[in-house]
Amino acid sequence: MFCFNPTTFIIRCLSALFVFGILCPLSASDNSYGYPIENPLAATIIGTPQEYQANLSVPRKVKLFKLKVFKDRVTPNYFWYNDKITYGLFQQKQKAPLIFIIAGTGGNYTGPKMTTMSSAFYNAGFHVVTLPSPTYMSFIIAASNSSVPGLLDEDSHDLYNVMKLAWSTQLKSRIEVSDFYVTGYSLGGAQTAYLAYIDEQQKFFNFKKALVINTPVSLLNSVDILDDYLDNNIKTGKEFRVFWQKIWNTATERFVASPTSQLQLTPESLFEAYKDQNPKDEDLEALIGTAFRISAASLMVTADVMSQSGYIVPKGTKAKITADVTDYFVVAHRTGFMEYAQELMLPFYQGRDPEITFEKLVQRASLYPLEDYLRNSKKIGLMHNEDDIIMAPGEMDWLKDVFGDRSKIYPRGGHLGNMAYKDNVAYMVEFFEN
Amino acid sequence: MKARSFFQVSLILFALGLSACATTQPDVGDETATRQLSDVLPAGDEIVVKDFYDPWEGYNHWMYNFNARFDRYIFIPTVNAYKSVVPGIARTGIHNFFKNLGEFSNLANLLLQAKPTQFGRTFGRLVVNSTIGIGGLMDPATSFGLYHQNEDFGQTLGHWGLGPGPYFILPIVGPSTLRDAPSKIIDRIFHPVYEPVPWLVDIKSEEQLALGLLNGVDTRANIGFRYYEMGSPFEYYWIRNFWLEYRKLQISK
Repeated sequence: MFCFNPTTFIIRCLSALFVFGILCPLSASDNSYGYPIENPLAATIIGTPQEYQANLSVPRKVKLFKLKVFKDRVTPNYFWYNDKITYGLFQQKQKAPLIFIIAGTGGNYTGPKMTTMSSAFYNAGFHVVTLPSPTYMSFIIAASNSSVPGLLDEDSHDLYNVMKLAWSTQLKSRIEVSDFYVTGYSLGGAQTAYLAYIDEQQKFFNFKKALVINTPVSLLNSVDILDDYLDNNIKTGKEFRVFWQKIWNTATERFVASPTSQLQLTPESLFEAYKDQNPKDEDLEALIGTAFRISAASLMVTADVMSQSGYIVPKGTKAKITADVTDYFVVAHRTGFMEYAQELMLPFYQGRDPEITFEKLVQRASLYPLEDYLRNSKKIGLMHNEDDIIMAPGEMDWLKDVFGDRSKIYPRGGHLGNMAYKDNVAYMVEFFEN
Repeated sequence: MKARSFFQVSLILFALGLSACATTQPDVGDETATRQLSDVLPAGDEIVVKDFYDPWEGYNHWMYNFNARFDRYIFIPTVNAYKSVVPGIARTGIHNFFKNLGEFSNLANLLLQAKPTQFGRTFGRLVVNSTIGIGGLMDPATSFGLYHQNEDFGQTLGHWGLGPGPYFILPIVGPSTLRDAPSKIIDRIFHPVYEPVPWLVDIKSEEQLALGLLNGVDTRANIGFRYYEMGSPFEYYWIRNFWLEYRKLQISK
């Protein structure tokens, strides 16, 4: 049987398996930052091998909570298991500061990056609350006001509501909290910035500090890059079959040769492969593009059904749990996030406000509306990588300019590859302790 | 409760699933969708997700969903109770113990696959762990380089060239195939404790029943998988595709 949770299993499998065959030799790094992987695509896939990781003991007990957000919302039968969202709490015994962690695109309350962060903060003495991304399926169904995720302001308001509700109904009576903090990675980083901003107005939590990690600047610029990673390298089903077989064939060869009976998908085993083999960037791109596409396909079909947009699933369609939905699977996995934005999001939001143009939508899916706030708010910091693959030209400069001396930019690590690296973990914790 | 009734329930589930769950098409709304299959499929292209042989999708999908509910309402709460009552060190001991009992079936299958090296290693494991490892409660063999190799009769059949046949989801147990599901009965013949066909034979003793239930809880407690947490409306398909590939990978070793 499986040894991983499904999201991790699939993304890691795809990533891990493929990496076995295709990674390039390690190039020498000559500066003081010790994260070992130079290629940002490879770093994104591999993560941080054990010997480079911060020494984190993983807290044993996470308490899971289920939250019903909208009393009257009817969950379609096909999605029965998503009538509530789930979030996690790592609880200190005594009064302590509480930190909310927001997952990245398509991310649940758990997963390798959530584990790294929650362990780091728990060990540093924080109560930790891990929240799913507003792009995660059950959040779209049970906690999103519009059920059409992608606009940072809307999605962050949904998150803020969830946080308030969770605190008032489930957490307040259970834990003693001194101060509130918030952080998030990738898309969750961008939402962290918005949450800090919303909190300035509503003053419910009065966040003392907020750390934005590997955030996109313009969501649609970033998804365009990720769409292209797949579309430029794999154009047809036939090509995908070749790619898929290559993944499994390489994995099988490595598995047969390895002295274990379990398929190893750890950063260490990938790093070993990395040092053995010769990668092509096109294959790394296709892999990252595939992983992103799986998230995007899930998001768009869920949003489509919940908003009854009739984009991929016709309006009014009812499916029993036993129904063959392969056709929707195929269409969704062959549709880019950019098409979703233009053909589902835009008409949906125009239905609410005819004035909205695509340009306005792009703007609301970016950090630009918060520029003044981010420039002047001393409580918000940034942690990012110079070589992050999701950044369009000029965006990193914009971030550096806006965050100024509140930014910490590492020279490499790709997109979140270095999150578990010891310097990065130390910085995350120090940021909130000081 | 007798284990016998549990297996009778399984049989009823099979029957229910098989009769009520022919694959259906969704009851499609009146307007056509904006984006159609023809918009995304270049002429002459092929659909990879249809490579996976699943003629019983209706039944399978129904059983997948049943298993998810069973997991949520019965299995996982039981595992959680087990974890809160039994200390970690004892759970590790229990896990090692069952793994050690399973070596008999691993040995039989390695013999049937004519793999002398792996047979020798597994035999070494069994001896070391049953003695130095105090009846299998500990696993010193792994630290001597005698690593565990999981084998079953389905893999043996696959090794000799038998294909998996249709994908087939078992009650409680989960993903399997027409080749692998009946093979589980053969594996029980090699097991030192269980009756090979438990739903035909009365459980002989309370101890045997308790052991069987504990084995089930231990197995579930050591699998991180949780139903419907992938966050995709297409989880059934992704799990199926990965499972079928994963079995091929296991057979190759």
